[in-house]
Amino acid sequence: MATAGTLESPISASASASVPGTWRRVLGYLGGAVLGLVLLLAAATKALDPLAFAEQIQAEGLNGLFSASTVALIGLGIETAVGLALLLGLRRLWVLIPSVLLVAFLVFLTGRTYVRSIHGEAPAAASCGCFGNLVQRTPAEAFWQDLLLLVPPLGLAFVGRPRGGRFPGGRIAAVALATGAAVVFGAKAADLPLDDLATRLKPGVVTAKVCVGEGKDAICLDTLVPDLAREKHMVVLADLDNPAFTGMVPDLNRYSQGAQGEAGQNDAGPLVVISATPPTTSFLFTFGPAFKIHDAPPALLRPLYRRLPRAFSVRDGKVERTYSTVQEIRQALGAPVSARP
Amino acid sequence: MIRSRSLRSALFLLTFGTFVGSGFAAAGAQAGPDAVLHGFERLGDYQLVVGGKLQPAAEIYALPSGVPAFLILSSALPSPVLLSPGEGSVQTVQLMKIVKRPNGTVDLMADAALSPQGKFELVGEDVRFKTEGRTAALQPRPSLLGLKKAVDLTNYNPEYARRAKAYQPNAKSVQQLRKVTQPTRVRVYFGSWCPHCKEHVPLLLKVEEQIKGSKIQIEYYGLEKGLNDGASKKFGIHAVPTGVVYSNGKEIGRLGTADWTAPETALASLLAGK
Repeated sequence: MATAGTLESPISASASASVPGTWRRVLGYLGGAVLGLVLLLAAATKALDPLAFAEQIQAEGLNGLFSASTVALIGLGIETAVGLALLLGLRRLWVLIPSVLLVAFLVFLTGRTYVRSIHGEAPAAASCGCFGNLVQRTPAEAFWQDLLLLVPPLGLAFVGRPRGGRFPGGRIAAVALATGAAVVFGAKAADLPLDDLATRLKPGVVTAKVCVGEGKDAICLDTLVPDLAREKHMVVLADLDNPAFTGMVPDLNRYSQGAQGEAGQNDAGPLVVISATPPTTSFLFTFGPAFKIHDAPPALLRPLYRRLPRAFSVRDGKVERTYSTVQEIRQALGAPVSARP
Repeated sequence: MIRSRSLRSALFLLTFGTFVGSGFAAAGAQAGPDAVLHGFERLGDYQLVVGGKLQPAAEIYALPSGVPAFLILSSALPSPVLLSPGEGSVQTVQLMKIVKRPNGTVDLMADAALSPQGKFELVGEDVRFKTEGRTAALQPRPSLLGLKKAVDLTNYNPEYARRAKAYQPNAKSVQQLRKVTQPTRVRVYFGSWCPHCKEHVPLLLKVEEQIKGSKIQIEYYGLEKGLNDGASKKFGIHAVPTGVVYSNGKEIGRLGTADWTAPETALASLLAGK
């Protein structure tokens, strides 16, 4: 006969004072594990791109006393700790209550955006370009998806909850260790060469499939720059206000005026620069770009980079190589890299 | 001394026009177009203000690619002005060294002498400069807003006319559109500030020209930058250009972003119920 301890989780075998039915305990564990996995996946995404998470925190106005990046690390730690604890079958009140608070907070955030969007208050995507409020997920989709993904498993996690029993010191230590590791990783991740892993832009990706929106509103990289589907191009994703990009304009001008690419390699093809905002008069007259700048919906560009500028070479609509640092981009453009870090 | 502004404008245009019409052959025999400063295309994004007065007849050109340069021709300025973004320089060039091509582009002759006039200054979105004792500024033009006709668009921005002229619509689709029997209205929401509109709306302008006399009526509605205005919200416009198609007064579909590479084909398919 199965004991409460053996069914508290497949990992632990501690005894329990009350013995709920086997199915209730299994169901409860599965609910917690599903929620734990969802939270861990979310934490992994945030750990790989902590800058994007910090941007989100800033946009939501959640940074308060701390910097957005500090709040991002705290959030990452909480999500990892709760997620892993649930996955390891820790369904004690001191795990479930933080889980409830975390889920309530996440649903509150998407719910707030949803309500604001209904009342026409939600800020459109930060763009003054041709694609005002095009988003990857509408506020309604985000709210209902989060609600359905988080709330039912959370409810289930309370079913057949073990009471009393031995203190799960081993699992708590594992959670603490993993949480610490996740936070340290999150703090270092921005400087690690993880861009291909953390973003949708990596070698082999087909530009026609990099899209945002649905149906008639769908916008793909190929819709914006049909030339990408043919022959070879060098594409630079840019933030026109970023000094890292503006400092590169002379190199880009030289390249677009016919300079050759990386030494010893073929020319990477005509230059295509894509930005989330169209160039302002101030940008055009200050930096004098000799190349055309295509504007794209922020929701299309954001999943393609962790930090701008980022570049990629594309042949016949397929990404061949990515360049994720200024130095790599300058090298690909054939510019002397020692002049500027 | 010429006192009347309109008379001066007429003389300027006459001089420029005469040179364009007959002077090029002689000038061309002396020196061809400059290797770099040729192929300037007329822009509609900016307006010229000289001495605080708007100069609606001013022609502003830019090189479509290569070296960034803007050329300004106006009767309110003693000489044409060349602005070089990046360098920040302002130079004048003799009018007789500028050649207008039949396709509307403008070249500087290789032997044109450029006279430095100092640097331009950026004040907000204004490009301010001084040339031969005059104070002038290039300013972004105010957006075209509300319900408009094709001619309003081409008058506002010559790029629309140029791109429309270059487009060849699919003949079969145009034929299909001409045969439409139901009264159909297409309202195109666009932004005069939007680069995609500049590329794609002209294609529909050409289609409109080719289906003149059919049951299809096309109109254009200019929206504000950012698409946060009442019209964008009321009609659910998330991106521009978007074409809303009405048949017998009822919306039957939309031309979305992907449809604008060949709007006549997308419209014909939509009206055929495909």
